[in-house]
Amino acid sequence: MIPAPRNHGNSAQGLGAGLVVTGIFIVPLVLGPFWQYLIANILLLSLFSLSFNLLFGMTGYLSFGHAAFYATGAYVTGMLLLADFSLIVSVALGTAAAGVLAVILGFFCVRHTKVYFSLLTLALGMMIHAIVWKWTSVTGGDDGLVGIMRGSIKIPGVFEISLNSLSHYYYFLAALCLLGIYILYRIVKSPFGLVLNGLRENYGRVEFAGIPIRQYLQVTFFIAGLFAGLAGSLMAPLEKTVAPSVAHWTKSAEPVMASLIGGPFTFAGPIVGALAFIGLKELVVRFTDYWLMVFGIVLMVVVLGFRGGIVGFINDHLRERRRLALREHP
Amino acid sequence: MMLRVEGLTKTFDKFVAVNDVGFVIPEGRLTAIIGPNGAGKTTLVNLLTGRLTPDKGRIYFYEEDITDLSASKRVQRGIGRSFQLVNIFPRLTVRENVTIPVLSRTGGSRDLIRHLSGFKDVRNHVDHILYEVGLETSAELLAGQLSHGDQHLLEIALALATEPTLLILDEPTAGMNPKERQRLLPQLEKLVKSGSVNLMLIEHDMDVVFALADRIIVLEQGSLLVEGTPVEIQNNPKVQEIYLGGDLEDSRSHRQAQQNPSAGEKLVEVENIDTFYGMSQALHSVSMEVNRGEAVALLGRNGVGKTTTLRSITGLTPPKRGTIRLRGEIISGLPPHEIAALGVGFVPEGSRIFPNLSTMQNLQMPTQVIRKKDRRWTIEKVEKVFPPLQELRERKGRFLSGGERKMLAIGRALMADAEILLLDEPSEGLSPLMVRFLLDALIRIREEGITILLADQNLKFAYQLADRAYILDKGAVAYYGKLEDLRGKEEIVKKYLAV
Repeated sequence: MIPAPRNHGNSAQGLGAGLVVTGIFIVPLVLGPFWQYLIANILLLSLFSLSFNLLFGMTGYLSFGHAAFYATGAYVTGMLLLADFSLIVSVALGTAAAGVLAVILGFFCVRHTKVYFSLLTLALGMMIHAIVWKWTSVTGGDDGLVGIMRGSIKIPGVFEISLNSLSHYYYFLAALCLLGIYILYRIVKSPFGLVLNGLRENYGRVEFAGIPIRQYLQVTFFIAGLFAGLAGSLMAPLEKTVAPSVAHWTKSAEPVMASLIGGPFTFAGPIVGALAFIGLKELVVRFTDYWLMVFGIVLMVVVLGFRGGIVGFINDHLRERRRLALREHP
Repeated sequence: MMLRVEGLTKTFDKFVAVNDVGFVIPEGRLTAIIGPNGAGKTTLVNLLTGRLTPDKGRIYFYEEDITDLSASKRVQRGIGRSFQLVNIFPRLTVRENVTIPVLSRTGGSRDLIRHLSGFKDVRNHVDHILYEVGLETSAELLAGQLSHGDQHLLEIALALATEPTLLILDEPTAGMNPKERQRLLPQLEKLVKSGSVNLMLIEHDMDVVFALADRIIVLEQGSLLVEGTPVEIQNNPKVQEIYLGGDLEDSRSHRQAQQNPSAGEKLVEVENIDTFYGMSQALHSVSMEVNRGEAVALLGRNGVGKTTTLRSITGLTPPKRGTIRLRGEIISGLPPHEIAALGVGFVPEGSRIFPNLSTMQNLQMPTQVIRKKDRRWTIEKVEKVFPPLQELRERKGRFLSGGERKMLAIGRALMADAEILLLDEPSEGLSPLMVRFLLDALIRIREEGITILLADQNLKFAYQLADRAYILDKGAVAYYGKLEDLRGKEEIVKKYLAV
C-alpha cells in the first residue's frame, strides 16, 4: 500500500563507519604515540559528548554539569587502580559509580525543564567540583591523583597482557569507547530514542501519548551519566593522573561546544565536533596560547552560519536535494 | 457509567473558569459540549484529561476515581484527546509523530536497543492510522511543513493512536475546509458506531453537532447551563439567545449599508512575488491589488499559500522575487516592524497575543513602540467596537478565551494605527454567535476607513464581508473577481474550494 521510505545513504553510512573503525584499530601499527594519544583523546571526548548529547540534542535538556560524571568515573577508577585493583574492575566500578551518582542527581534534575534544569545541573556539578577540591585526604585535593599504573588484563593461569605501553592501552580504550558509542547509537535509533526526540519537540504532548515522561527522563539521565563516567574512567589510566580540573564547569562546556559545532540533532554530530575541537586545539596551540579565542570564533561562525552544526547542515542539504529529486521523478 | 463528573471547579487568578460542573455519560455515546467562547469548555477538557487539576470535585472513569492520576496514566486508562491549537511534534516526520503514541500503547517505547525499523507491527499500525485520516502520502514530511488543515488531521491521528475508549476532540474541524470535514465526519460516526470508542466533541459547527451527537452539554460562564438531546437543545430559548443566535445570512442587511466603498486608489500592490520556505517554493508569481477602503478575500484550500501571501506582505516571510508596494512605495525587503509601522496590521491565526500581559497592556503595546502624533484609534474606540474587552481590561492574555483573544489581536493591530488589516482565518474556532459578532465588528471597522484583506476557509464569512476575492491554488492565483460573480460560478467554487 505504502512504499517504504527510501533510505539513501544507509549503506554508505555503514561503510563509512566501518572504515573509521578499521582505521582506528590500524593506527598503532602505522602511527606513533603522538597520534595514538591524540586519537584516544578524540574518542574520549566523542563518547563524553555523545553521552551529553543524549540529553541535549536528542531530548532537549542542556546539562551544564556533565563533568560531574566524567570526574566521578576518573577519580573512582584512579583511586581503585592506586589501591591495586585490576584495570577492568576499576573501570567497571568507576563507570558504575558515575551511574549511581546520575540516578541520585537525576532524581532532582528531571523535575525541572529548560533553564532551571541547566542551572540545577550547573549547581550540582559545582558541588562535585568543590568536593573533589576540598576532600584532600581522598581525592588528593589540588594535586589530584598521581602515579596511576595501567595494570594489565589477565585471566589467572591463562594469559596476561600488560597495558603499560600506550599502544596496548590504546586498543583497550578504543574498544570500550567504540562499544559505548555503539550502544548510544542503538539507543538513539530505538523506540526509546524516538520518544526522547518527541520530548525535545513537544514536551507536553508526549505525556498525552500515554508516556510517563519523568520516568523516561530519569532513565535518560542515568544513561547519560553512565557513559560520561565510562569516558572518565578510561581517561584516568591514559593520563596516569587525575586533576581536579576534570570536575570543573569548563570541562562540562567541552561536550556543549563539541555538540554545537558538530550538530546536536544528529547522532554523528558530537563525534565530528570532538574531532574539530581537539584537532583545532592541536593545530592552533602551536601558534598561540590563546587557542580558546580562536575556538570561540569558530564556534560563533558555526552557530551563526551553519544552523544545526556541521553534520546537520550537510544533512539538510542532502535531504533537500533528495526531496527535489523526488518531486521531479516521483 | 463510563464517565461521571461531580462538582468540578477550577479557578485561575480569582476568575472561575469551571464552576461546580457535574454530569454523567453512559457508554456508547457521542456527547457534544457547546457554549460561547470563554464558557470553560477547554478548561473542562484539561481537567478531564489531567492537564489541570481541579480545585474541587471528582472525576470517575468506569467508576474508578481518576481525579489524582497523571495525564499519562489517564491516557493508559483509555482517555485520549486532541488539542484545539495544533500540538504536534513539528520537526519529526508525520510517521514518527504517530509512532510515538503507538509505541506507548504497545509498550515498545521502553525498548532501548532494538532498531525502530524492526517493529513491523507498529509500522503497519501507524500506516493504517495515517491512511484512515488521509495523511498516507505525507508520511515522510516533517509535521511542521504540513498545511494547517493537515496538521489538524495529524492532531486527531495522534489521539486515535492512543487507542482510547473515551476520545475527547477539542474542535477537530477548526481550520479544516469542507472537503476535509466531509472526510473526517463519517469516520467519527463509524468510530462511534463500532462501539469501541465513546466520543466527546467540543465543536462550534452546529451542523456537525446536531448531525452526530446523542447528547449535548451546554456550558455558559463556567457553569452547566443545560444538558439534553439535540432536539431539546435546539429548541431551548436560552441556548438560542446565548449561543446560536440567528443565521449568518441575516447580516446581509449590514452589507447593503456598506456597499459601494469609496473606490480609492491602490493601497497594496503585489507584483509577481515568489516566496520560499527554505528551498521549497510556496508562492509562484502571485499578483494582487487591494484598494483603499476595500475588503478583499483570499480563498483557497489548505496549503495553497493564503497565509504565505499575508506573511509576504507583512515581511515575516519576505518574497525572494517580485515587489510589494504600499501607497506606491516599495515595502518588500523591509523588516516586519517597519512594515507594521507603515500601517500594515497583521492578525495571525491563533491571535498570538502576549499571554503574560493584561488586555490593557496588550492594547497599549503598539503605542509604546510606534510613536505617532495623530492616532485614529484609542483604547476607548477599540472598546466601542469590541465592548467585551472593557470588562477584561485587567485580565492576563493567557486567561482569555479564543474569541476574546481574536478581538484583542484585532484591537492591537488597530492600536498600531493600521491602515490595512491582514486577517488570517479570523472566524476559525469561533462560536456561531461570536462569528456574527466579529462580522459586525469588522463591518464597523471598515466604515472607519480601514482596508481589510482576509484569508478564510469560511466562504459564508467572506461573502458577508468582502467585495472582491482572489482564489489561490498551488501557490498561484487561479481566479479573481467580484465575490458576487462567484456565486454564479459553481464550477470554479467546486474546483478550487471543493465546497
